[in-house]
Amino acid sequence: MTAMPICLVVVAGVGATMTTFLGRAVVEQNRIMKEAASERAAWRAIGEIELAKNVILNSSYTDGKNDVIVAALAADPPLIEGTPVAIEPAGPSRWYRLSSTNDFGMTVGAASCLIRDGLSYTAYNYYVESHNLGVSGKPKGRIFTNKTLEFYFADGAYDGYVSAGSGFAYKSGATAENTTFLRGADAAAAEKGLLGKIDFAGLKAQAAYVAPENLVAEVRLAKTTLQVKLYEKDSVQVVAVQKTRSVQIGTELKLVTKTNYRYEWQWVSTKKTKKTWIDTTGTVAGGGTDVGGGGGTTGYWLTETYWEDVWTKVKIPDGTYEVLELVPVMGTETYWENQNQTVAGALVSTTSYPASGIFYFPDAIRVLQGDLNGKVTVVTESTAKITSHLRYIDAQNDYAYLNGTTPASGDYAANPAFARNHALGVIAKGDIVYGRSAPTSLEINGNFVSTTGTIAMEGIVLDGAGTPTRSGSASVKTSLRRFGSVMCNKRPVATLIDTSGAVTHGFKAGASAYDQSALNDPPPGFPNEETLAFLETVRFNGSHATSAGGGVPDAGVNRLTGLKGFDELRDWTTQQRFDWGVNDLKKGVREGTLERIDPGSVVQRRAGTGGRTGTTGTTGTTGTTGTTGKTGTTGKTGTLGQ
Amino acid sequence: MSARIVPLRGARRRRQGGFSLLEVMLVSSMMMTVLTTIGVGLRAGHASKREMERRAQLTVVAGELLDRLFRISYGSAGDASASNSQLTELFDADADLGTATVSSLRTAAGSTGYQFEIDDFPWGGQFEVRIDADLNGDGDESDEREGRADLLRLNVLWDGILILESVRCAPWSST
Repeated sequence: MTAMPICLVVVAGVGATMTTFLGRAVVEQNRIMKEAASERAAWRAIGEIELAKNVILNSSYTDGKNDVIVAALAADPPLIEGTPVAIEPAGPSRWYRLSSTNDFGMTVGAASCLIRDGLSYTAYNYYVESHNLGVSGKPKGRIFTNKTLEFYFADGAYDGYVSAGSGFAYKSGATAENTTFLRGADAAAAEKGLLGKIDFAGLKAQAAYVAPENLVAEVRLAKTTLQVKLYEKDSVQVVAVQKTRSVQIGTELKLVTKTNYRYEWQWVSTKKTKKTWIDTTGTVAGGGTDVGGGGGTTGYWLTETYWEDVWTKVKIPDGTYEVLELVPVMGTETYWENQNQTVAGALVSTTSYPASGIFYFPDAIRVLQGDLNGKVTVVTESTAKITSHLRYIDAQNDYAYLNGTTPASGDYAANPAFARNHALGVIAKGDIVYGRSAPTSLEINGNFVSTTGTIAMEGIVLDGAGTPTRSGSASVKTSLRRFGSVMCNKRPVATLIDTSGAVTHGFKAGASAYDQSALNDPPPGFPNEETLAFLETVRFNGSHATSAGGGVPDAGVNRLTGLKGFDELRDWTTQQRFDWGVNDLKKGVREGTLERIDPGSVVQRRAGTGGRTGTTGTTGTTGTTGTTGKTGTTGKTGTLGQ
Repeated sequence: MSARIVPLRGARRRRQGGFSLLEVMLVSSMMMTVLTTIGVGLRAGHASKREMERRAQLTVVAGELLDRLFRISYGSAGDASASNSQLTELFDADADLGTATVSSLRTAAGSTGYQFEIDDFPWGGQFEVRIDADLNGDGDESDEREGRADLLRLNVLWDGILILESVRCAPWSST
């Protein structure tokens, strides 16, 4: 029996090794399954946030506040109606955090999203109610018109949601194929009426300054101050002016010399014209400006002049003769005429105020310019004229955007050195115009609203359909670079072009971008659209939210300052679950309702072929407080069937 | 010549006597048990490893597909069904997801979605992207908030097994 101890040792050793091996495999399997479950829970949590957004988006508003949000905040726990999503105030006024946690397969996933229960009007790059809108270039931000949205010039790229109530049109080389919508488009959007909701009386009541009636203003921004000059209105006086004119005072008989002519046939070089079609597709550089005029063609007829010899009868002088004729005798007469003369209004006052709050003017603003280091909204019940640059500047004299006034030097891009705490709003009932006297490369930072008029180059006149023409002298400028939004009732036209695509009035090029920061912190009193603004949903898997391997919520993780911790959120959200149908990782579909597809069956495949190559990879670390990373690409070649 | 046989004594005698039948049988059965255990254990471990790899890769691929479905435009109810080229653009290897919208991928509740295979995917099988307005996955669109154009459930399946699911709502501009 001497072999027995040896055998027992071997058996025990092998058994222990196998037990360890299998135990480790089980632990590893559990870990992978938990990660898979955690991933699934996180995507479900994201879906629950989307569900809550949908409920909020479809809610009514009372006194400018979303009814669903108001009800949820008053509830205990504060959950969005019919969802497991909790809501709590977060940060600036009207901002909230939506949070959801989802339990799946002994682990938990969570997601959160910051929302604002009202979208500032500053979200639009362009908004027009009563007319078509023409745009070009690569503007950033939302673009909307109740009428037709016209895209000018080839290769336009629109980095924001683009929508129109009466469809899209393509002009001057733009086509559906060479125009790109980077954030979606809708050519049949529902009609909007945001401009009529602006409450001028409410703005006046909130104003830090209200100008007296019947005085015209000049507003100059001087960094942290705002200078207001008030003038009496220009008056018109009738003045008698002495003038002279030529009149006939009699006749006389005079000897007049005249020429004889004869006619000969000759070859004569004759000036003629012909029309040639010029294709302008892709030859006109489009900026980010609002455009008007032009046509639906991609070219134009050019009239060319040339000379040609023609056999023709020619009239040739052939001597002179004299004849007596009765001719008029002229004299000068003096008379008086009444003329209207404009008399400039007298300066009434010059005052500077801190650049903060709402400044309200019952009459026109004929000068608006300067650099702003503050938050101001200028409101007028009449018109406003932009006479020079309007720019944000910080305490270190850095401007918000680079190359705003020097377009040839580079892109219109955000200045990383700029310390942002600025907002300018201009709200007018009448037109807001870019003055003819403005710099040839004009830069404007701010958010502009004209509730009944347009925002256009001075001298642009619109007919009832919004077709622009020029009144007065032409003024062709180099560039308009604009950071902010343009909202108006009538068509905005910064650039007027003729049928050949040439700029005849306004700015030859431009760039525009909406001000994303103004969404979070808009100009004082700036109105809000009754809908939801939200930042991107962020997710965190169970490995973040629970103790490693335990599935127990870790109370200290992902706690944001001033907001509820994960454990409290989970307590809330578990009180109202959303039915996803399946809660077992190993069961793919709700049993008995959807049949599992036979992997070998080709009947389930739609027509076509699908082939995919590439690699998938995961990197990163997971841990109680770690991060989950995913990199790698999935590749595919071939044509997918449907 | 005669030989004298001298009997062995003590341990030396036992060593030269060999194992008894009982010993041989016991050792043999133990070794069989050990070998069987090793075989079964290795087999189970290997199967477990493969299942873990499969689950991990399926989750990664499904996550990638869902991520794409969240990055494309939502579209609107009037969008035509996605074309072959749009589907290829959406699921191919480059970062350009093309012009397909979530709404253009919608199918009726309970019906098959868009299916495809991935070359070189070690587990073979068919992936399926199924988008419908059946929020709770019960095969109809008649429950609360179901059947709407502005709220769709996104499912990623593999050989009919649900891997990941989520919900996407239309942005405010599309409502």
